[in-house]
Amino acid sequence: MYNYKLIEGINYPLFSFKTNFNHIYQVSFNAPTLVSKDITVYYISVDCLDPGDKVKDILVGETVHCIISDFISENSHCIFSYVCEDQDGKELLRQRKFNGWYLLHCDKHHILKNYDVYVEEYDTTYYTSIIFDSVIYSDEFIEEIYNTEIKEFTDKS
Amino acid sequence: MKNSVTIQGTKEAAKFFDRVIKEKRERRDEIRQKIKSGELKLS
Repeated sequence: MYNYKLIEGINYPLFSFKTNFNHIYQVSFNAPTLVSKDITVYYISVDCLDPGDKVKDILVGETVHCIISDFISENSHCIFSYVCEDQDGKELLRQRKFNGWYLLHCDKHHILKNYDVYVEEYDTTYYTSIIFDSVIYSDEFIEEIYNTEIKEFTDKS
Repeated sequence: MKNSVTIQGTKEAAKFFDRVIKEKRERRDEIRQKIKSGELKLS
């Protein structure tokens, strides 16, 4: 695993590490809204800041997993969402990669569930993954939270 | 427990996810810009 550090000077949790191949990765947790019942939903981003093809590097996944696991441990009551970017048609690949990273060493309580949201009007599927403590939250509650987030966003728009 | 479910989304859901994705890109671009300008050192 690579050493990673918390980057200061950014108004949300941002972690960074550099690989043996000189690629810089960042993992961030953004909480744009606080939904009802005092629950924070963090939106996870995992990015390589260097454009172009990457060398296959198993340590990247281990490090990403460790960053996410540590952050979840410190914020275990929160809900974590990963929404795959769709600009290049590789969103399903991103979801599989994220699943692979997280499921490397998932703990007993925090489970990962994929919600593939199909919007018929646009013939588009949004691939999302949610990590949550299954002891605290039920599947139904997670879907309710998602719907609340969408409703709040719609009301503000 | 099933790991994946497909659900029907509304137009509002599409707008919501589009915003989440847009904000991800904007934050990434902001970090790149701060690194480029020397304002931020990541590693």
